[in-house]
Parts: sequence; C-alpha cells; structure tokens
Amino acid sequence: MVVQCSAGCGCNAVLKRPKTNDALCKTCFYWAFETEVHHTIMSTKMFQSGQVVAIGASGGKDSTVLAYILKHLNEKYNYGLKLVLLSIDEGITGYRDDSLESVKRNQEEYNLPLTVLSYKDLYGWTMDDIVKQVGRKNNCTFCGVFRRQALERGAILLNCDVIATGHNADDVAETILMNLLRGDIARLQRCTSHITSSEGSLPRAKPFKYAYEKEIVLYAYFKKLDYFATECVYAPDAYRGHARALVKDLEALRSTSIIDIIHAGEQLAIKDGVKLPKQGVCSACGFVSSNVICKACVLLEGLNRGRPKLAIGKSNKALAEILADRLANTASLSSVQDQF
Amino acid sequence: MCSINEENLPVDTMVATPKLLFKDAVCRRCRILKAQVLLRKTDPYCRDCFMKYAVHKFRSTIGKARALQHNDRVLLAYSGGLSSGSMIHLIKQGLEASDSNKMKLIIKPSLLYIDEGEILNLSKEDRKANADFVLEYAKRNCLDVYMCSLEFSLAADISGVKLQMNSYEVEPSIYASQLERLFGSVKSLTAKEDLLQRLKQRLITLLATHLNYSKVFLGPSATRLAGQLLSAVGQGRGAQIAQEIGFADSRTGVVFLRPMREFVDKEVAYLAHFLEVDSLSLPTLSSKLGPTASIGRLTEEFVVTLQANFPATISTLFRTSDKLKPNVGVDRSSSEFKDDSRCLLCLSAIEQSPLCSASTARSISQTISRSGPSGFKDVESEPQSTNVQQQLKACDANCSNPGKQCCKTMDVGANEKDWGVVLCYGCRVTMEDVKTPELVPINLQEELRLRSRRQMMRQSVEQFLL
Repeated sequence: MVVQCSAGCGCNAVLKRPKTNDALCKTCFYWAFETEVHHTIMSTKMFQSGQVVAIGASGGKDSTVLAYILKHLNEKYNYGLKLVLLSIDEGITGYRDDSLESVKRNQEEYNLPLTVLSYKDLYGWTMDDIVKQVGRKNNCTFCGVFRRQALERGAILLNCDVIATGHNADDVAETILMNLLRGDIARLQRCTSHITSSEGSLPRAKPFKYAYEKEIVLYAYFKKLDYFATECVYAPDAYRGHARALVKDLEALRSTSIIDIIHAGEQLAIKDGVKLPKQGVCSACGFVSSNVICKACVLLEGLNRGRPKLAIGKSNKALAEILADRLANTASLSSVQDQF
Repeated sequence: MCSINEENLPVDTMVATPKLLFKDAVCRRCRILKAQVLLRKTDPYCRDCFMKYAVHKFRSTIGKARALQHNDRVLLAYSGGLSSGSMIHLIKQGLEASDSNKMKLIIKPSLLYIDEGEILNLSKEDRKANADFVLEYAKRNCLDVYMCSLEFSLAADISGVKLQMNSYEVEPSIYASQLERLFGSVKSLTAKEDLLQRLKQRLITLLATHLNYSKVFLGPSATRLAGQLLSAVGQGRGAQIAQEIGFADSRTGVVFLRPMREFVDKEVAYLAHFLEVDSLSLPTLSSKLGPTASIGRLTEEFVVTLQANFPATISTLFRTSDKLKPNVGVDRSSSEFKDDSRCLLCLSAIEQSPLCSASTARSISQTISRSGPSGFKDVESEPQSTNVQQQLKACDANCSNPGKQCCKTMDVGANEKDWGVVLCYGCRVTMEDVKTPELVPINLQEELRLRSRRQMMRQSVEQFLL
C-alpha cells in the first residue's frame, strides 16, 4: 500500500517520522528537519553574524549531521558564520583513530577547516595509558572531564566565539533523568538550557536540542552522510545506561515522550534557599570550575602522582590533600601552571 | 562519539553495595536481640527496634511539615491495600497512645473508600465483596467509613453523587455507562491511568468539601511515589512534581497529605506483617499486562529494579524532588493565586510556552509535518523579535491551525487543538489520547471559549492596565 505524504505535497511517503508518527516523503522530511533546527537556532539567538563557530566533531552521526546542516543553513539563511571542525583525539586505539578518519572525509566533503587536538598533547596521557592505570571501571570519568575541557581549549586556540555540539533530544532527556536519579540539582537546572555560558568560558550551543536521535539517523541515511558508528571500546558508563534504556522504553510507548521529558526538565524550578555550587575558575589552569581546583586538574594530578584513583568518588578529600600539599610548597603551584 | 557527554562522577548512589551475609546478625540499634529484618541491604533490625523506627519515621513525616492541628477532621483514603492499611494502623496507635509523653495524635479521622470496580471490569459481586471487606475493616477499627463509586466523579457537582456511610450497595447510575464509554475511548493505558488519577482527585475533593474535611491522607509508599515521579517527568509534568510527589498537595481546596511517603515497599511489607494488617488484593488498570504496558508501569518497574541494585535510588529521587519549587499560583492562600490560569483537569498552573521551548518545538513539529512547506509561513522570514506583537506573528506561523485562528488570538469556534488555554501541558498530552473529551466532567469547550474571549479582552486593553 502506498501512503501519501502527510504534508500534502502529493508525493508518496517513504518514512514515518519518529517524532510525530506522520508519514512524509523525503523532501518534506528534509525540509521539516532543517526548518526545526533553524527555528531552534533563530528563536534562541544561538549565533550572531560574524562569529566563528567550532563544531565539536567526533565522526559520529550527531556531529556529522550537525556539520552538514550548519553549513547548509549558514548558506541558505545567511547566518554569516565561519564554521570550523574541532576534533579531540582521546587516544583510544580501534575507536578514535577510525572515527577520526571519518571526520577527515567530512572535512574534504564539506570543505571546512579541521583541527585535531589530542589528550596526549594537552595532558600528556592518552586514554589507552589512563585505562592501563585505572582499569576499565572508572575511565569514563577521566575521558568525560578531559574532553569537556579539551574542546574549550581547542576552541580558544582557534579563536572561536562559540562551541556547537551534537547533543540531541534523546541525550538531553537522558541527562535530565540521570541528574534526577543521582540527585544532581545544579546540573538538573543547567542541562536543559540550549546554550550554556558562564564567566570565563566559551558558550556551548546545542542546535539539536529538540531533534530526535532517530531523525538524525534517518536524515543521515537518506542524505547518505558518511559517519562512524561503533561504541567506544571501553565499557560504557553503566549508570547512564539505565537512564538511556528508560528513555528508549518511554519513546517506544509514546513517541512524544522525549520532548515531554525535556518540557518537564525545563519546568523544574529549584526552591529558594537551596544551596547550589558556585561556578568559578580553577586556580591552577583558569578554566571553569565549581571548586578551587577543577576536576581535570585534580584527576591529572592523581595520574601524575601515580595515584589515579585519588579523585574518583570523594572529590573533596582529594582536593583537600592537594591543597594542603600546595600550601606546604607554594612553588609547586607555579610548576603546575607551567605544565599548561 | 562517546555517549558520556558531561562529567560522570560516581556518586554514592551509583555504587552497588557489596553482598554481605546477615544470617546471625544482631539488631544494629539495641545490639542485643537477633535481627529479624534487613533494611537497605546493610541494616539489620529486631522487631521492636524496627517498629520504633517505623513509628518515629511516620510521626516525623507528619510532624515536620506542621500540617496538622489539634482536632483536625481528616479523611483517610483507604484502598484496601497494605500501604494505606498500615497507615491506618499507625494512626490508630497514635490515637490510642497515652497523653503523657505527647505521643498522642489528636485528630478526628474517618475512612474513605472509592470503588473503582466500574473501570476494572469487576463483577457486581466482586465489588460488593471488596466493599464488605472495607466495611468489616472499618468496624474492627471503630472508624466510620464513607463509600463512593468512581463513576460519580463525572457528576457536575455533589448533588449528583451518591455517597454512602457504613454501608455499600452497587447501584446502576447514568454515570456508570458514561465512565465506561469515556475509558473505552482512551487510546493508551498511560492516558487512562492519568485520567483515573485526575478523576479520583476530583471526586475526593468533592466529597471532602461536602463532608467538611479540610485534609485527606493518601497512602502511597515511597516506592510508588518514586515511580510516579519518573512517570510525571515522562509525561511532561515537571512543574507539578512538588505537588504530586511531595508531602502536601494543596492544588484543590482540600489539602492532600502523604504520610507513607518515606516507607519503601519492603518496609511497608514488614510493617503490615508485624501490625497484622489484612489487605485486599485489588487489580489495577495495568494488571496482567506486563512491564511495558504504560509509562506509569514502566517507571515503577524501573525504580523497583534499580532500587534492588542501588538501595539509595528512591531516597535520592526524593531528595532531588524535595528541592523543587511547587509551581506558583496554585496555592489558594498565596497572593499569586490565579484561577483562570489553572488547568481545569489537574488544577495546576498552566505553563507559559516561550518561543524556544519544548512545548513550542512539539507543536511546531506537528504543524510542520502536517501542513508541509506550502502551509507553513517561515518564522525566519520575519526579523528576530522580542516584542509581543512580533511574537504573536511568529505564533501565528507556528500555531496548530495557522491562517484561521491562532492559539493566542482565537475566539469562538476554538477546537481541541487549542487546549493550551484551559489545560496544562501534561493534561494536554493525556487528552490527545482521549477520543471523547465531551464526556470529561468539565465543560472544556465552554471554558475554552470563555477564557479565550477574556484573553482577547485583556490583550486589547493591555496598554491601559497598570
């Protein structure tokens, strides 16, 4: 049976839109998907004309589609943006080296400048080395903390004004549930904003905040975009896995669930008088931190001291230990600064 | 890219507790008696210490909220289940306690039983048998019991409700078939469960107001509420979490209190066992339907499974939700209370939907994929704007029926798509699945017209309002 496109263009539908269950033809789907991303960008004034935008490119589906669509919209609607690709090489053999190949192909195809920064250059450690030290259980902590900062460093290096990441609606919904489950009230508040910026750091934009993961895949599939699709070789974080599974189950029950969760997240307001950690800058490296010394520096110090587990879990204890050492020997502070 | 996009720091909640053996453990509180129960996988208690702990927890839940006054008339909603049964036993204990050490609970309680048999397809005999169990239970506890049937939630006001006291007969009424048709027309079990909750809240409010009770105790356990919390989030009810999960809910004129909210199911089971609480095993809408039957069922299973591995799950969820603000404008005593900006079904404040929000994104997606490029005026062909006039224009482009009437400016002839004026986001999601909205006890269409007209009036005189 042939189904007509519900947008009334007269063509035959080729897909069922995961977000609304409407049957659409290819052209109308492209148009719908692009228009929605465009609306998100315009209604939040995500970018200003003349800005340099660093696209966090991993070679995965989200960032591949993001690079493609930003380039497309930038030309179509005259955003006046300069787009650059920024990749972080975590140093994971069999995962990142392969996905970087896909980024390089994108670079040629879309004709956007690409910069690759590695953990090895920035921190002196590759993820492979870190896993050798800490084992497979907590390595995601290192990778997550380091990547967040690495993108920032890279973007500053390239004189960018804003970082755009490929976080999609599924990721946002997952993060909301995750933060509820772990009681992280400060992040619960922050994770729903479409653009996050704080003193001394580059703003981060999520143009795909309302775009379903499945639609991103559909878009890439029909546009025949080339992306890398393999899970990281190191075990994914088990606890986030629970939240992820719940989001997928909810979506299966009711397709609008993902956007409903984001709506719920946007409406959460914190009671007056609840203490939230203050965001400041790290005294060692100058990047955003909610502590005197940022998590990345604490983790790195643990690694360099040969005690990689130092900062996992009880973060404050490690911080106190490091601070005490610093006080005893103020010279070490400047030596840490020299490292960066 | 790696799926872990933010700092993922392992917190206590994520560390599964190691398996320990407690076979011959002594009670951790008195350190004398052999433990009989094990809580949170690590804490063994003897019977007496467990009961002391439970009674203390129950009393402190009520006490710290300062919600009760001496001689308050309180309705205890009783379902026949273990949790509400245990709640009533604990209250009875409080009523009978000696006055000397201020442990006496000074309130005037009665029971309330709502018979949901109609929508659960129970036979008349089953419904009667369940009611008899409740009557017997009330008699044994020397409490009066009010009995009413769920179908009367569809009555326009209290005059149409048949309320019985200390006796119960299932009688046919016009509302019974109406309720059956209403539920028969609901597409998803999720929406059915949500609708049931709203109808029950409406009926209990009607009854409590009529009987002059200002407070109602509900008996859901922590496990149940934690599931409801995630289910509320999954249905877009973020702003209402503080009311739906918290200790007190004052959205209706009657205050609903949840004194069992700090007991997980395991504790309720021990409590019921030690207190020798009888219970009815009542089916629910999702009985026999498997763990993915509805959002509510799914989230409850999720919480139970996670709690088994990570015993801090429920308490963490509660800790998070207790830090959330109840949504403004729903408390009758508050100065921000506004009746015409509340949802007619759940009585929560209706959320604003700014140009960039999930609710706008949701309606845009629907418009876009139903009207196509030709029916959609490009938002961006107009300059970016912040002022009201231009927002209205943008809204005209994004609204669910562009061209005819915009959701912000329409008047008569409003249709179901424009429910944003009378329903909150969560109730709109539910009503999308209800095929016969005219059977809902509130005249949504009429209210919609009234409110829209009023909004129009306000808009036209806005510049003169101080």
